[in-house]
Amino acid sequence: QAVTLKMATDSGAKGSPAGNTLENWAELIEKNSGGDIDVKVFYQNELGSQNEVFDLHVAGDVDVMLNWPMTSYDKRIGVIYTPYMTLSWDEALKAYSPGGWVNNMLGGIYSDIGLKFFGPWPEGFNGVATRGKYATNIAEAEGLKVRTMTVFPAPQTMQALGYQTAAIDWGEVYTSLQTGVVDGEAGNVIYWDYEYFRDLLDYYVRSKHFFMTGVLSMNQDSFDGLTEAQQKVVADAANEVMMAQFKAAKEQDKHYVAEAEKAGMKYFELSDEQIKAFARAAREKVWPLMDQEIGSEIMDTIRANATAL
Amino acid sequence: MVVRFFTGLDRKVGWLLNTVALISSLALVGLMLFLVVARYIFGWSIIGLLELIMLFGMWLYMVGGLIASRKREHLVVDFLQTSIRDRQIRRLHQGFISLVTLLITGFFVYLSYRMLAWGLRRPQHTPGLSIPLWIPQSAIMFASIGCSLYALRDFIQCLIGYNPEPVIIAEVNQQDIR
Amino acid sequence: MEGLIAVGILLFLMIAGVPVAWSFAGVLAYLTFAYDANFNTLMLQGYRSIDSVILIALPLFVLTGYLMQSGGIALRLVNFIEVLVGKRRGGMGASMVLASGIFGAIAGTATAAVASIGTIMIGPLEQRGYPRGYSSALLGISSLLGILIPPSITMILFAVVTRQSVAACFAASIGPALLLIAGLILANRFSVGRLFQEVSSAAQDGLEELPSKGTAAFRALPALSLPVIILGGIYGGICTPTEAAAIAAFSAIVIGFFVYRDLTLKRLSDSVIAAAETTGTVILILLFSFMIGRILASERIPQELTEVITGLVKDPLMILIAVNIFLIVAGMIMDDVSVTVVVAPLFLPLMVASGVNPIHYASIVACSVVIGANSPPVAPILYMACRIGQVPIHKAVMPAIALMALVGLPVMIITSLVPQLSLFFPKLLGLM
Ligand code: NA
Ligand code: NA
Repeated sequence: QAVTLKMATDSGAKGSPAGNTLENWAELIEKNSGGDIDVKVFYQNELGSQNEVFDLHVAGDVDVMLNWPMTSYDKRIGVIYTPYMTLSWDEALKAYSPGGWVNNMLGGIYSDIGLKFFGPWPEGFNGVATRGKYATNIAEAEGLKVRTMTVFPAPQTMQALGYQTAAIDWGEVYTSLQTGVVDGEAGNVIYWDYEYFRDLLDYYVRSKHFFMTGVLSMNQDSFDGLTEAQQKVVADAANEVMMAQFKAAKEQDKHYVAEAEKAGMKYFELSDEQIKAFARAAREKVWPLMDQEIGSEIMDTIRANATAL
Repeated sequence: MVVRFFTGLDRKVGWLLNTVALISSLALVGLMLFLVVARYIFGWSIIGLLELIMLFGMWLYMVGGLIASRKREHLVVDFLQTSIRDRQIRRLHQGFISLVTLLITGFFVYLSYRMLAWGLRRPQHTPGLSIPLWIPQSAIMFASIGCSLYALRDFIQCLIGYNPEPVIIAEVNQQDIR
Repeated sequence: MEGLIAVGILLFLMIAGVPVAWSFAGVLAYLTFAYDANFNTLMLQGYRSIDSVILIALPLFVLTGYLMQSGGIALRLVNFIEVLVGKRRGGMGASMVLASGIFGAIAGTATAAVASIGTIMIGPLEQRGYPRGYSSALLGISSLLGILIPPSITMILFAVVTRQSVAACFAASIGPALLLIAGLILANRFSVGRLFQEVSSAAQDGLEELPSKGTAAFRALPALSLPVIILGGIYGGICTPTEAAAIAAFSAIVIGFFVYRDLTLKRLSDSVIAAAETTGTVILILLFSFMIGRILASERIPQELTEVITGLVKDPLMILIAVNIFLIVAGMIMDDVSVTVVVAPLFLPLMVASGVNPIHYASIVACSVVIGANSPPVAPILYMACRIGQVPIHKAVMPAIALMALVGLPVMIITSLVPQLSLFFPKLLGLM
């Protein structure tokens, strides 16, 4: 008899790259299970805010999910937001691939909050999108107020880079930009700033403080409730969309840089020197905080593997 | 004797609720103001200040709801109530309303309990100040228990035919804005 | 089927007289049973929904409303308007409308205006020949300018539930508000001499002498600075609606204590507690409505509703009219918070599908609340106006219905059919 799985993402409308991944994943599961599994897909905001959907996932109301991890359940999930952990696509993809060191670390942490970790869904290096003025170094960032994600250590990182910060839930960013509460958004790859805020923001500086990635995961109880054959179908489908994203991510990102420029946003790549100056400041100020919050054991792994400056 | 005990208890509880409402409201205004001043005048952004504000906000919401239960001033569609003239039917109607309210607030208690129980299994903290979520959430638990106790009060008062209305109306008149 | 049962339970509980918050909790209890909801996350979702930075503006604007009365701000505003237009034909009625409008630019609710302006003006209106029933009806509908003119807790609630911009929703109902002001002043002028004879101001004696225009304006200046602070702050890009709300509450305390000196510590604490209570009643309704909404969303009820209706009716105009009628009927039998947070959001996907901008829809919803709050049987604002006006309800019902039919309804129809009326200000302010 057919099982119904609820699949959701906390970020990404129907037709967005994340939305398309969800659609593919659902299709693969339904097709490969021979109609044995029925998947109901919910896009961004359909089930509530980012926090709420992740709650549902942890509780098993959302069985399968593409999520941008929330650190409220376990601060160690914040390893994914360790600033300047890797500095190039090659290193990042290697670290996040199955068998890579970040991948291994995440699997363990996810399982501790009752989630089965299938793999990452990489987007690329993030940056800071602003209006009016922009910053390529710490001094220039003075007086710029930017929105950060509501996760540890996103605000701390941006403050280390010289910005003023306000941690604001994704759903409230547009209003905050519009009413001038913040001058920019500092959490994402260019796609999101292009897609949602291109009328409001003028500049995008690729500061590369985080390598952004979503996570493909399943509630462990829901997973255990499936037959072995069904488990394999879901996991294989996850693997397939993950591998597709590893191939597509870099091109996707490039594509949206071009789109953003076409729409009138000014795009800046930083030189190695500029990036390293940011990276030194963030590592110096934020990493010690992370030692306290997520433990030296994990941070030692990061120190051992991180790109040398 | 019994009446005096409960009247005294009610006054003390009322004082406590009012004090919590007062403190959390003033903290809310003060902290929010501080946030604005800090950001616009001094250029500081204080990590986690909003989390503290939301904490006071949650207690304000819930204690406010509880005060409304105490004073029987929850928003109500009262055209049926006001059109009943017969005293017996009126009392019967009151009894029915308070019984239904009692049952439903009992459900409210259960929902809050399940939230807290789940929170113990999967504890969460806010990102900035690491405030455990059970602190704001327990405001909801507090309100749900309080509201159901007041529903019980209303039901019992209806059963024994005790009519407290004059006391309550005197209190309402002090604040004539509603 | 489950949906119909839920609606049935809701109407039964509400009309029986169970408090609205508990009526929704009752419906929620039924839905958890019908749809086998997960109790681990249900209240957690409710908690997350009301744990919103945007929503924090609500208690602050409610508090500001209470402080306007206890701090003497309302009195100075009314005096100012009275001196300005009170002596013309129909001037006293127009004063009440305009005072409500300015009051509305500070307060976020209608009840604050009913209580303060009603207490100050109903007496003088009677002395000028206005029947109390008529004055109370006019007060009831004018006070709703409090939710059409920003700040507005109705718009905050709608924006929070539907994830729209609060600032844009605020701006959307300014156009309809101006139209309502004009309509009410015209209707009032038309009524003078037809429904009742106005006693000319010269013929009045025994009335207190009003101050000169200059004096009244000077006294009202601190009060008039409040809308400038609030709206200037929000639309000047200085602060969020939430921050503006805190500044407004603080300014009202300062003005009440140090400028007008009407505020005392006792009055302040009474106002704060009363505001907390009002906030609490609204938030509990919102809490349970949110949980109901989450269950409905995960069962895809709004989408199905949209599909059913668009399957039956194709013409966007017909859909718009149908939704308008539905909102008005809902407003007659439900309170304004319920209509705003439960009924209206259900139709948002349908509205978007038929080409209505969500911000435009926000102002349609606000107009429906204006009508609903004054339409019997469930007409909390009208009843409150009657209580303040010390007049039996049946004497105010006919004038209220007349004002609704001649002004409220046309304003809602124009708002629905002319999107520009709602979208002009949001566009002007660069919000869309
Ligand atoms: Na208003
Ligand atoms: Na009504």
